[in-house]
Parts: sequence; structure tokens; C-alpha cells
Amino acid sequence: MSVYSLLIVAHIIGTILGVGGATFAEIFHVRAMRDGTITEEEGATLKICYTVLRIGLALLVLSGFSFLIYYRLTGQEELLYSEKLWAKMTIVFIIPINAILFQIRKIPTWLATAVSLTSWYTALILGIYHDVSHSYLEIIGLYIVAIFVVAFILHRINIHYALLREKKPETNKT
Amino acid sequence: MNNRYKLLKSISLGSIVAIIAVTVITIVGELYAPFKDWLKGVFMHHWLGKSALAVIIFIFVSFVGNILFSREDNRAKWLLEALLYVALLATLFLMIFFFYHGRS
Amino acid sequence: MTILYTSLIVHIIAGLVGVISAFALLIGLLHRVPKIRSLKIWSVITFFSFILSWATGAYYYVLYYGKAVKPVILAGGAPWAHKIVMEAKEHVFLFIPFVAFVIMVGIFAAPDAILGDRPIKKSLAWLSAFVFVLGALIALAGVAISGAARQ
Repeated sequence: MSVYSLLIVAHIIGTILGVGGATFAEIFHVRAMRDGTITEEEGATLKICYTVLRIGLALLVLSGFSFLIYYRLTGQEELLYSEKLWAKMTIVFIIPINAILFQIRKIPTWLATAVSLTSWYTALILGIYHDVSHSYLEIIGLYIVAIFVVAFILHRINIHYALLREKKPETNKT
Repeated sequence: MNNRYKLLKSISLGSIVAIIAVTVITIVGELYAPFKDWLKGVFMHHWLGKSALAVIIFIFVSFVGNILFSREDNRAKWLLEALLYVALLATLFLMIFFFYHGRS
Repeated sequence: MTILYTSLIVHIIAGLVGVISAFALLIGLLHRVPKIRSLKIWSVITFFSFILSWATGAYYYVLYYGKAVKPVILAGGAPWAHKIVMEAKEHVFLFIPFVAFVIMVGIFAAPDAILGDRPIKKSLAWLSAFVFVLGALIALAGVAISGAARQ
């Protein structure tokens, strides 16, 4: 197996762990919040998801930069000025910044979860499609719009469960 | 316990002075070519000179700080905060300096 | 050439490991009850990664970059990549090993203060954030400089 193939495998595994970790963190979070509180067991499950997600992030960054070294050493430096690459790097940089802001409670939960989920899926999409012809600003603009769309969808799901929670005691009474 | 805090205070002071020294040496070297040439002459390369001087200054100031700070001195947090502000300001200062200097 | 390329690869990867471990350190310090053992491990990794990155970067920069890469960048379409980005990067990088060393000593010296959530914990967290953000920006600057070698 060549170095390049190894890098591709590492990059794909990193993306899978990251996207999977972010997705399941959100699913378990929504599920845990159905009763309004996160139990110790649910908290432990979420912690595992965050650990998987961070391992994915580390693998993604290390393999991603290894690609850039490969381009540099094989005379393909022009690829390092691709607008898609810079958009992807910006979005990947936002992931840990979002995690830090969430940890110190400087960003509301609805926005933090939407940013995490959207960032991972955007990085995945940008990685899959090679011939993205959009400019840096267009990609970042679409990404920002997507964050608010995802936030709205998650908000609707949470409202749905909150309504169910309110209905449950009434059902018990009758 | 207090000895460990004393070490922390000394190296925080050493780092503060080393960062200020790197910033000053860099700016002086850019504005006064003979100084940059002197660094090249003595240390083979100006960047190696700055690196070596930073380490020497750090070790010297940390050593002096270790003598000067008393065990009871309660300024560890203050020195850590000072290090953060100095590092931030020095970083911003060098970035802004090279932004203008590099365009001229 | 092989040693030069190896030094460039080690410089970049060690720097990235330093950035990643600084992030792990920061997240660890932000926990209500941090795990001192893992903080110690991450702080040691952060410090020694940046020392390794410093040493290998020096080797590549002094022996190769100035002679072979810098003239290409200055003659190309993006001379600012050297004049502004590289000049700033190579100097602000020098701050990181010192700050990383202070964080490492702080974690080994004050585990009681970290567990007791005293102000030193917050200061060490801020310094870790500084190392993480500056390290990440330097990594991005490195991409811009490498890209300019053919622009």
C-alpha cells in the first residue's frame, strides 16, 4: 500500500469517526433530553461520542496536513491555494473552537450542536466532491445558512419532544 | 509545595522577559540592518540568533527570579496572567509590524 | 535532500501534534474536576512536540528555505507569503515553546490548585488556549507559504 493510499484510508476513518461521533452525540442528546434531564448513564454515553469525535478530528487534521505535505513534496503546490481547501480548513478549525466555547458556556447549546453537526457534514461533502467550483466566500456563506437550517430542524425536534413531555402527565391522569 | 510555586513564578518571569526580548530584537533587526548582520555573523543565521538569545535570556531571568522570589510570595497567578497578556500583545505587535514592514 | 524533507515532515507533524495536545489540555482544564494525570501527559506532549518542531524547523529553514524556497516565493505571484506571513510566523512561533513550558511546570507544580478550581487553573487554561489558537494559525500560515512556492 502506497503512502498516498494510507493517507486516504486515515482521512476517511477520521471523517467517519467525526461525522459518526457528531451524529450519534446529537441523537443521544435529543433522546436523553426527552425527559428533560441527562442521567449519569446518558452522560457517560455522550462522553464516549465526544471522545470518538475528537479522535476523528485528530486523525482528520493529521492526515489532511499529510496530504498537503505530499502535494508540497511532489510539486503540486498550486493545490494548496484551492478555495475549497481553505474553506474546508476554516470549517475544521471552527469545530474545536465551537467545542471550547460550548465547554465554557459562551455559546448556546442549540447553536453549538448545529455548528458541530453542520461543520462535520460540510467537511464530508467538501471531501467527497472534487470539482467544487464555488468560491471561498460562497462555500462559507452556504455553510452559515446550513447552520441555521440545521438549528431550526433540531429546534423543531426538541419542541416535538417537549410537547410530548407536557402531554404525558395528562395521559397519566385520565 | 512552595518551592514548586517558586519555580513556576521564576519561569513565568523568564518567559515574559524572553518574549519581550524576541520582539525587541526582531524589530531592531528589521529596522537596523547592522544588528541583523551581527546576529547572522555570530549565530550563522539571524533566526538562530534570536532563538539562542531567547533561551539564554529565559534561563538567566528564571535563575535570577528563583533567587529573588520568596517562597511566601503569592504572585503566581499574577505572573501567569502577565505572561498571557505579554504573549498576546507581542504576537499582535509582530503581526501588525510585518504587515506594514512587508508591504514597504 | 532526504534529511531536509524528513525535517520538514517532522516539523509539520510535531507542530500539529502540539496543537492537538494543547487543545486536549485546554478541554481537560475546562472540566469541573480535571484529571491531573492526563493533564500532565498532554502538557508534556505539547511541550516536547513544539521543541521537536522548533529543532527540525530550524534545520529546514536555515539550510534549505532561505536558499531554495524564499527566492521562488519572492519571484512568484504571492511574495507577501514570505514578506508578511513567513516573517511573522517564524518569529511568533518562538513564543510557543516558552508558554508551553510554563503550562507544563504549572500543571506539575499546582495540581491542588487545579483540582481546587483556584484562579491558577483559569490562567493555565487561557495560556493553553493561546498555544492552541496561535499554533493552529501558524499551521494555516505554513499552508499559505508552501502554496506560494509555485504560485
